[in-house]
Amino acid sequence: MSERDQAFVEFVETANPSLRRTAYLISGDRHKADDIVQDALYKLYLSWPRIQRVGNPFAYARRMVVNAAYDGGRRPWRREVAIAELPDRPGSADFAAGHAARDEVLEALRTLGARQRACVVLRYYEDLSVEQTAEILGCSQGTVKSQAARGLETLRKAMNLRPSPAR
Amino acid sequence: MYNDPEVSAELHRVADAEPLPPFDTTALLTRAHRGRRRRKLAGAGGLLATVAAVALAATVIPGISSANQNPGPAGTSTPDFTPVPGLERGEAALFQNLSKSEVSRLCALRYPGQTKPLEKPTDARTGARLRFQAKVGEASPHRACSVPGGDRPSAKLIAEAKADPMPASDAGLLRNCAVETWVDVTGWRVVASEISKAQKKVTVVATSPSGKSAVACELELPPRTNPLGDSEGRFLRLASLVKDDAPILVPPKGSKWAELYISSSGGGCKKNTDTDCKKQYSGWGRTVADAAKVRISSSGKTYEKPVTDGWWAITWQVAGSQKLDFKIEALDKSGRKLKTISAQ
Repeated sequence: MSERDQAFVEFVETANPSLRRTAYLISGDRHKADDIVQDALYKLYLSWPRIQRVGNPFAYARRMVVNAAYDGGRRPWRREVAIAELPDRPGSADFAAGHAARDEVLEALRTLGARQRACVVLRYYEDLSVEQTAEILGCSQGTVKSQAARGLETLRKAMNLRPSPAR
Repeated sequence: MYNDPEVSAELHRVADAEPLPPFDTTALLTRAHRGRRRRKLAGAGGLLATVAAVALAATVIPGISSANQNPGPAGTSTPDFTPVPGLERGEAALFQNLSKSEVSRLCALRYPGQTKPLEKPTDARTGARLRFQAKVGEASPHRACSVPGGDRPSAKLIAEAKADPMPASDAGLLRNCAVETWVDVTGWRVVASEISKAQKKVTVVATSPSGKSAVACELELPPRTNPLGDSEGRFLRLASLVKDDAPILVPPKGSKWAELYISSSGGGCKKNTDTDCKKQYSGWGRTVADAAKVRISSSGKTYEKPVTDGWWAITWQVAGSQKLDFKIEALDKSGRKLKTISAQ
């Protein structure tokens, strides 16, 4: 294996879990997330010597992944809504109560718009600053602040609605 | 210090809850080498020279054609499945014609505890459902054989599916579907799912990465509330894998895809007047392209599920004494009715 390949493989082995999880949170689909990361890393390899020279290949890869996931996320999300939230049920009450609970936070995340979701993930999952988030998403810092605040509010509501584990 | 520790912790929990299959670095590197080679070719001459060189390379270098450039889903080369002799792996098995004797052999392999032969052995394909011989009232571990595919699940995978029969994640749903069907659908895309604790039933509809096949797994959990129920996985061949293999579901003229509606019912009611039991219904299918959700109305109540690329899945139940009265409708984004899928 060439030196270039060796360095690239080491980078991929280290970075892929984090990139895939970020892509999953933004795109909402594990398979889509894996495809996005594969594509991003493929492009990264083609420019690998230059990126290594500049330094911080992870930031470069993350930017590509986030933008690909964010663009894909502009289309509507595909997953079902939580059944338990629907008040009307045919038949008896156990119709809804009998369904397995979905993850409220995940469902709430899925209801956010693409940009809001990307802001929330970068700010609160990746722990980036407002400036860094704005730079990656190519928008103003004001937009990041407002989108992240709205997204945060939605997530907090979902977290508060969650039944206590003691029940 | 996180920007918001509580929300950060929740996001990390959600992200960590989704299992990561192994990442296929070798496939990525192979693809990257091909890309780099193409770049070098492209940079070697003018536009015309490049086109000629790529055209020539495509004829002499294996794997440089566009059909092979996709990396495929990460983690396809896992030890979770072993090949079944005589069958293709993965999606390709769905397009393989199997003789009567092959079908009998595969059913014996898939259901080792079943001593009864097939009622009417016939030529079939993976996913076909054939009944085992059984007298009325006779106990039988399985009513029917779902002809398995070419990916035998490992004991570890079977144990994981058994331990987690109602998974919350897509990965878990696909794993359980793969264990049931013996087709490695773990890289497929879930387009509809329904998990009913009341019915002890999981329905998952997924499409293959090629877009040419779909699977609908209806997984009955023990103890089954439907005494006649067995888990099963039905495969749909939406288009040909190869040119001369006729597509199964041809879209009608002017339609994006063929519409489908598959329903089943069951329940523990001995008589229609029973009040302490439930009649259970489930349905899945594919409806018109403009549909954003389906709505089931039954006994004056309604319940909605979203639609993905036309795919949907739903379950509902009514008291045993209630007359069956339901309507399943496809709605657009604004809630406008597009069509009635089924009604009674």
